[in-house]
Amino acid sequence: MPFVIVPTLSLKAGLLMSAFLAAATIPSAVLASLVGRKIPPLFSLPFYGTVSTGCVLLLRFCVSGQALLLEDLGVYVPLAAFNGMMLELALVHPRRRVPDALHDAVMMCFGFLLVAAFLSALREFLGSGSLWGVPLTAPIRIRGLVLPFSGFILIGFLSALFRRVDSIIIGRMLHASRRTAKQGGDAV
Amino acid sequence: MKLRTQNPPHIRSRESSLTMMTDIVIATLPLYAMAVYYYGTRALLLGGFGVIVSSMADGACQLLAGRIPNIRDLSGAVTGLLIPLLLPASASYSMILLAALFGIAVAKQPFGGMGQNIFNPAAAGTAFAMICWPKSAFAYPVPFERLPAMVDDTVRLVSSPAYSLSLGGTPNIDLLDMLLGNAPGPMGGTNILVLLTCLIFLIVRKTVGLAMPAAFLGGASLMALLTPRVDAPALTAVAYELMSGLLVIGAVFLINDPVTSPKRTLPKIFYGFGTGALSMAFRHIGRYEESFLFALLVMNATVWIIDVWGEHLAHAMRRKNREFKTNPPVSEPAEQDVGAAQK
Repeated sequence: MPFVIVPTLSLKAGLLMSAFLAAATIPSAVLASLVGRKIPPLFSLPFYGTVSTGCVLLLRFCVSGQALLLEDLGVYVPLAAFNGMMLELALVHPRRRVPDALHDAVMMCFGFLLVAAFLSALREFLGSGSLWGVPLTAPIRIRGLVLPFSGFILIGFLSALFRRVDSIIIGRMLHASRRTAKQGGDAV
Repeated sequence: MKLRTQNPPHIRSRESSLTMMTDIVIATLPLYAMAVYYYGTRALLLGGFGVIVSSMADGACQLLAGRIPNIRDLSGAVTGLLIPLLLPASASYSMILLAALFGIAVAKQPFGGMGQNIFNPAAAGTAFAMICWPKSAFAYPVPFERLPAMVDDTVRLVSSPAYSLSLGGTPNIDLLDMLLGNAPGPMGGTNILVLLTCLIFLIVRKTVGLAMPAAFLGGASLMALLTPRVDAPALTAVAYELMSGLLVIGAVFLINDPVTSPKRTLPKIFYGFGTGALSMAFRHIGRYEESFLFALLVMNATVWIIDVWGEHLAHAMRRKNREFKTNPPVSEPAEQDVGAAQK
């Protein structure tokens, strides 16, 4: 959660953070599905850590021209090498098949990207009065949005919104299945 | 028997939440009257706007939570009335709007609504406004200069005595003027005499007690006495500290919130004293000229542990009292003169 709250003060920073997390997670998850069973548990953490760190460094080298943006991300760039998604897919619950591992890693990173993009765009637009570095006229400037506590509150509201949508969808599915079961029972 | 648990406030008398809130609404009316006297009808517009926004936000949040909206308990209206009083009379309507929305939709309703909130909604909303718009929140109009309904750049805004104190200087305003409210400051926070009258009204109506406000002002006074920020006689420094900022209005309206304050008397005294001392400490080290709201929110977060300690203490005292009554100490018989006894 700190990755999506603290450094995502602009849309560019949010997308770059997502890219770093994807660079750390996807290769490690795929590698875990390929050779994970052959690596002793004692060496698994250093192995995947080295792989993810290498990928993060490679990406950092590629975007080294964005010095200001990298400075904004600060310590979260090296921390991305050991993020929770990578640890989950590579160490705790590695997938057995490469397509499954790739699918899970990509979808997790895509989900992070969506949340980070939304949060960072909102905080940049209403907090800093710009979007993608382009000054815009926001209806109101709320400088408190660039502070971490606002990020936590926004995440909380997003989670509540997601749970509400989820409960509506599950409710409709349950209703449909009950109607189907009742119709099947009537037919019998 | 079906036992029903309920969060405070537990009212088992003719009083109810509605009567308590009505008393607080009545107590804010003199403050709004003085604000209209000093700044014009804009004060009333801000108060009315705050009430409408807070009540609507309260009702909307209750609807979203699947409950029937109950705006008759007036808790939303009280929040809407208090927020403009804690801000300058020149505060924009958008500031009031967002402060009220934050107080209701972030600090109150997500925790369960009235009776279950941890933080004081008015304090939380106003603190949010101070963080988001520090320049507007700490720039005050001059008393007796009528404000238009929509404030523009032509309105003269000045700093308050609290700003002078934060810089280590003595405010160039007479203490009597500060007592009578003839000083720039928060819309409802400068009329010290009226505030004290409101406090007496609330105490007589038994809506609030004396313990917490007294302990709060005592804690703040002690800190001001021990660590004065101005080069003035001790009592003068204490008077300047108490009458500047939001301390007195906080003592009357915010610290006495029955939901976010402790339940027993001794914990209340501890809570009030701690809030006052912390407010003064934040004034020394804080970034803003007025930090009472932040101190209050920090202490709100500790109320649950203060209540636990209070219960343990109450049980221990009750146990000691019972032991004393069942086994009173027996006085030892006087020593007899053996020689005299033998004779």
